Amino acid sequence: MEILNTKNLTKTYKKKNAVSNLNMSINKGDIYGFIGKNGAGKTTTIKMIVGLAAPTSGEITLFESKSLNQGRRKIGTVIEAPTFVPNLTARQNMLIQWKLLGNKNPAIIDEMLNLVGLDYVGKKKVKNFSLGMKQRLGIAMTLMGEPEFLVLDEPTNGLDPKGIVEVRELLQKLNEERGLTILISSHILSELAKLATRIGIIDDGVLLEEFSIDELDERCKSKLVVLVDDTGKAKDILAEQLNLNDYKVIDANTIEIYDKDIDSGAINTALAKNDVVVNSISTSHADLEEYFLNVIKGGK
Amino acid sequence: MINILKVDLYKMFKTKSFYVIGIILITFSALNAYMYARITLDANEKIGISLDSFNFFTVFMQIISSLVIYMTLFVVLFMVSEFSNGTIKNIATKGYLRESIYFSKLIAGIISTLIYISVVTLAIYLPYIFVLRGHITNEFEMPKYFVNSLFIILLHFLAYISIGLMIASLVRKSGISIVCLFAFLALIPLLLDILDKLLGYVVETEFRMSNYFISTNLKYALSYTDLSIPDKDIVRVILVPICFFVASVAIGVTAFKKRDI
Repeated sequence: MEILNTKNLTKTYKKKNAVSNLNMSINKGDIYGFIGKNGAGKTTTIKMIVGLAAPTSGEITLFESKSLNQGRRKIGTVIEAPTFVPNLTARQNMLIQWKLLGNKNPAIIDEMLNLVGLDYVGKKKVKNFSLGMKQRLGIAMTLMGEPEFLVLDEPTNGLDPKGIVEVRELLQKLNEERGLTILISSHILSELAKLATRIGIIDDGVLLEEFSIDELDERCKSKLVVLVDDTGKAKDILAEQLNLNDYKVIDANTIEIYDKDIDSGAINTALAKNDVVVNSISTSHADLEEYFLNVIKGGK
Repeated sequence: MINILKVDLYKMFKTKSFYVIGIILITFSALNAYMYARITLDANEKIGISLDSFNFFTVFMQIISSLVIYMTLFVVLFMVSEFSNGTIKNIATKGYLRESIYFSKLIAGIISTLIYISVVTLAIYLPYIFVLRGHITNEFEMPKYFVNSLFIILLHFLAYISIGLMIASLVRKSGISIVCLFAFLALIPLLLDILDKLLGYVVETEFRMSNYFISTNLKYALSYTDLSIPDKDIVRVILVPICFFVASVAIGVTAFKKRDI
């Protein structure tokens, strides 16, 4: 089932497109990592999906239906930062959410507080919570309505490394045990790479690429980085003598070779025989962060 | 909408400003009532003016009308707090129509005002009865126009609340909302008064724009101490708050629907 589909979704503020013709699709069970630099359009896109902003043009379909209000009742959201009534306790804020959702079962409040590890907070007011506690309470509140789709805008902001891991593990658990579909935007790309099953990269309001995490491995392929004294001579030797054609000259001293099954020993020998000084040969594998930066650069 | 209203009422009763404004209203009303009652008694004892001149219901109307701005203030603060805390997002992302959210706030505002009116009635009644005990004759006899006049006053309250809510949903910040509210209710009548005078120099007419503004209309309705408004003005006195209510609801709902959160 397709949980979310957008067609040519556009948002314009004062003649500037914050989001341009965005086509995104998320299937049931996906954990969709939405990445982009600050001001790329992630939050604007998310706001349009959850109903905080009206699109200038384009379509949104939720749960294969254009009846968005019905669909939004099945969504749990944290946008920009979790929001609470600061002078109330965690339980009171959860009670507000419980009333709003028309839940019949009050036991869900304790269940959710337990799930995020906030069952001990008692009468402490939310305004006195640490940022990590607030983030966890925010997630607990999004889960109150037993949503089928979670939309989280930078849910790990301000968390310490332990907190970030806990949130990741919680989301993975929810996805695996409850089949929750998740759309999550984050700047911590290493974490997103461990969590997401699909990635979407947005820049200047345009969705540049969308791919599965398996495809990412293919795209961030291994390469051999060869540092030499003369790349002009070296590349000719690689092509003529070793039949290597998938390479890139980075600068005056660096060549990156992408061919599969490369024998670094053979490269070293061939270059040395032809009086090319080889300073180093090393293997490198791009991660999501590097891939993202390359895509953004290429997108310009 | 029932769910949103339950949430709004829950939040309202947990909001400090609800009780702070309540205490201010009670104190103000009680002190005013005490003063009125004392003046009544002194006037009777020293000058011989009949106690019948200071009817409780007349005093009640005068005091309660002067408090409408504070009751409106609570409605403004309550709506603005949703934006400043960001909790409006929790409601707006749950698939409720924006109109439902707005009308729930309006109903909560009306309920808060009715609660305030109830406690203020008690706060006026108790000092009055305490000071005038043993001297009471007709002070608590309800004038025949009281119910009609109360209806007109309550219409004005409705209009004020709606104007306050409209300003809060347009501005979304507490300080500026309060300034806008006071500017709307105090400055505009002044401007209209000036325009009326200018108009008077140009055209000889009895028409006064300021008569059609909400605060001047309320002042006019209260100026009849026996609460009997002349028949020729009764239609205007009733229609002005209704028009302000309808216009402010229309503007408020439209703005709330169209603007991003």
